[in-house]
Amino acid sequence: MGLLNLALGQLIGLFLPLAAFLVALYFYDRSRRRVVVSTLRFWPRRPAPPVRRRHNRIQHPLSLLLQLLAVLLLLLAIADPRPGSAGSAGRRIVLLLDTSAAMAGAGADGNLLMNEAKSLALSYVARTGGRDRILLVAADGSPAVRVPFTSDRQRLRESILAAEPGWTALDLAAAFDLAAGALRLALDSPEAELGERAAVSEVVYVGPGRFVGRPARAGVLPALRFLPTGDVADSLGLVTLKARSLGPAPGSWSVDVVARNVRSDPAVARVEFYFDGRPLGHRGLDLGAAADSGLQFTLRTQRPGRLLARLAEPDGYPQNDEAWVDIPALRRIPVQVVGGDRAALEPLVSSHPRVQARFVDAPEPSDVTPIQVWASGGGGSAAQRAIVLAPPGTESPAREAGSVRSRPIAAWSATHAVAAGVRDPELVPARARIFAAQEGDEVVAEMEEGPVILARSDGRSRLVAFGFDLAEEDLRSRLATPLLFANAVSWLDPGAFREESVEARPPGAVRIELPESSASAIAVRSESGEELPWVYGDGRLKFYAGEPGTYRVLAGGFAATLVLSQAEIGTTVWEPAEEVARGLPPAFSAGGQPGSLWPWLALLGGAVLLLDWIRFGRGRPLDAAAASSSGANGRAG
Amino acid sequence: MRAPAQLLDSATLRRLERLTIRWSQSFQGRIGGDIVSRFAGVGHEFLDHRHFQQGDDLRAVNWRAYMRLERLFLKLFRSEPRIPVRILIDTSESMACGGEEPSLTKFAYACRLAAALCYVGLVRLETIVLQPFGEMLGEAFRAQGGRLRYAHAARYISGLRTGGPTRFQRPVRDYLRKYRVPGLTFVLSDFLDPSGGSPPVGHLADAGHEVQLLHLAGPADREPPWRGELELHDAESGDVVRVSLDEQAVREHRRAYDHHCAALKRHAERSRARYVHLSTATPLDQALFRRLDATRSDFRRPREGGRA
Repeated sequence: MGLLNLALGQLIGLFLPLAAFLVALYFYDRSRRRVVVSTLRFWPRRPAPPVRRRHNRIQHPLSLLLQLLAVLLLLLAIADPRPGSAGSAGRRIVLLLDTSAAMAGAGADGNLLMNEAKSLALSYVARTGGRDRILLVAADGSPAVRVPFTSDRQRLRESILAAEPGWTALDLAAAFDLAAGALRLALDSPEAELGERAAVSEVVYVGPGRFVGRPARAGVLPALRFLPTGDVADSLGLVTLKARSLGPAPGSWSVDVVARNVRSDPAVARVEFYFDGRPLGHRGLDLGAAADSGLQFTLRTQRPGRLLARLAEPDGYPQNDEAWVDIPALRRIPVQVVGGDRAALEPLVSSHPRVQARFVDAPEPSDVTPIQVWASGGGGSAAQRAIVLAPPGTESPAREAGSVRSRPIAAWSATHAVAAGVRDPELVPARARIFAAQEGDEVVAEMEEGPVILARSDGRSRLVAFGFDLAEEDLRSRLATPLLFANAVSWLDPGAFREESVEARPPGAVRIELPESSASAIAVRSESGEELPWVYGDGRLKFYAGEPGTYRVLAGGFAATLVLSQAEIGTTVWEPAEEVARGLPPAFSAGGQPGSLWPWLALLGGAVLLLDWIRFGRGRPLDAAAASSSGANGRAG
Repeated sequence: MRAPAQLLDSATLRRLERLTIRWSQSFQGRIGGDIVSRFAGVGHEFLDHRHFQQGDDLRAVNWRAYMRLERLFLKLFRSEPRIPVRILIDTSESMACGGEEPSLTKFAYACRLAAALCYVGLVRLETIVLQPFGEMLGEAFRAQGGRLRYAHAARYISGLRTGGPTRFQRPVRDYLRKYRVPGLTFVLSDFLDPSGGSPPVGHLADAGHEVQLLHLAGPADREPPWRGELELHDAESGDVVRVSLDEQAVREHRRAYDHHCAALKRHAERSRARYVHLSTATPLDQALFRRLDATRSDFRRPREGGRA
């Protein structure tokens, strides 16, 4: 026998003063009131008992005993005794409450799976022993401890009732690993010996057992109990919807859709597509049993809008029946070409479809600050972003140190973005000016006589100065020439040629394929601008976003907008081994430990009090012959 | 228990001036305060002159006539033989009981009633004797000479206190020895003699006294308010009775008390005495102007030129 709320000493310490108080109260209550009257001659004469009574004598021991017994029972009810070994510290129980996205669905009976799971979890907690300590884990794609090991049933009940289904699929293996780790720490037992501690520990999983990912390692757990709920009824869902811009063809987007069938039999899903509210068409998807399947098509649009994919036939889990992404506006790069030979320069500046070139005689004001290309004459110093081709000596923003003819470029900067990928040894300008690099200038390319391409950045403006004319006849036919121009534009406007991607997918662990060439200046931000931690390795960018929302991923040449709003349901249903216990334990004997006795003790205490009041209530005369006469001198009244 | 310090308020005193004390029997040779005597004697009102004789009181010599006539003449005054009004106040310990509040005890009520009687008598120039008694007669107080003497009487009454048992035999015997001139006698008591005997009212009547028994009772004397387990202490004897008081016991007590009152009334009637039962719950005004006045013997509002 153990007492949950009071130690034995505390119980005795409470009972003794209460019993003393009760006895004193009894004597006071049972003592006769002293009343002085004018005379005794009118009072009825009744037979007097032979023994004279005293005030402090127990007249009704049964009444006193009943009252003491009632107090003891009520105190025991408060102490909450639990039968069992008094020295037992109770079991350690890990309660895995499934809070995956599947729990938001309804079972075959129409009830929400989450409510069913809560009810089962509460029933289980009510059947545990008073000394059992329970760890509550919310199990979804990233299992997390909700309540550490505690015997506070009220706290557990409140946490269970507050649980809500998430957006991710259950990672059952991670949940079991977490449970095993928690038990290992709680029992101070190595993992190899954990299986031998089945008498003092238990792991309980409450849910349908639908998960994704690696199979669960149930064998490492000491004792496992499965409290199954119903399963999601009849669900097909969209897992991802991804649109990736096709760089060579502006306004072209490669759209990928992945749908999932969690049924145990194959199904055909009809997916309808809408752009900006207008139907685009539909496609059929053959989905195998408990499998994913995808389709791909190209979307061409010159304007922004919302791309929506929707299952034509709703099912029992509507949360993943549609997905949407917002296709951003096609980004143009405005370029003003000042002066120069338009016929010679147009193939160069129009080599990239995003570049929107405009030939002017002098710089013109514009809503969007353009990149100015100074092809003849001096200038560019005042521009925010400028490319200066073969600047004349007098107005050159870069000081000229000399000139050469038909000399090859001897060296390219290995680190500067303007020189990225340009290694053409046959790039020989017919005429080139040699610069004298100033402080803050970066040399992009140089001949043996000195620098011929300089990059200058002062934090507010950027400028690339070429010592030769990229549009001269021998150079404009070279492959490296447009690349060099594009690199210069890209350096002046870092996001100019980024590959855009928008994707709708489930929250949780996100993995994005990202080549190393683009894996620079990586940043992952939420809608509120908060930076999320990330990991890059093996060509993949990984981060975790547990909450639904829109996230932005930026890398050197890559930008993605992730709409994490798709609820993900696991495709695999856990099949527990035979030794795994199923269902709730017997009432009042969860794990062999009886439940709480306090309600019965409280009822019994109340019944004893009621019995005492009925039999010996204050309003009742003690007995018919209670009237007796006595006095200090023995005279009868 | 001490008598209350404040007995009667001024409003009550003003109302009491409308009353007068009456008696029904004839007292030979004595009259009341408002009735003129035909006999000369000690008094305040001049009646006649006569020749001085040896042994006469020199204070009554008319010295002015002697100065003029050189003969001694004695002044004669109208005799005023009063019918004494005596108030016997029971000061036994049982008088301190009967009410939950001190103002409702029989002793407090008796003191206020005695003060009222005293004032009514003083207003009519009666001679009032306040005589406490218990086991024996106490020290009496005689009040006469008009309403101005009331303050002394009130002070005396306020100084009374209860104590001891009630024994009617000895006080009555002493009373008859002490007051040989018969008069009107009020007995203010609960008539609870521990010996159980009736008061010897007949002896007083045989001695010529007109006796008025004012039986005072507290609310608890007839209807005990308590229930349950009680230890009853007799106020006078100290005896103790333990009772379990229920409705049946209260009914029995009430029946016994009523029987006692009826027996006392019969005894008073047989002894040519008058009997009035007064509860201390009855307001004093109501007791004076209704209960006592209704007997048509003790009190009566004065009529123009009338007499009893």
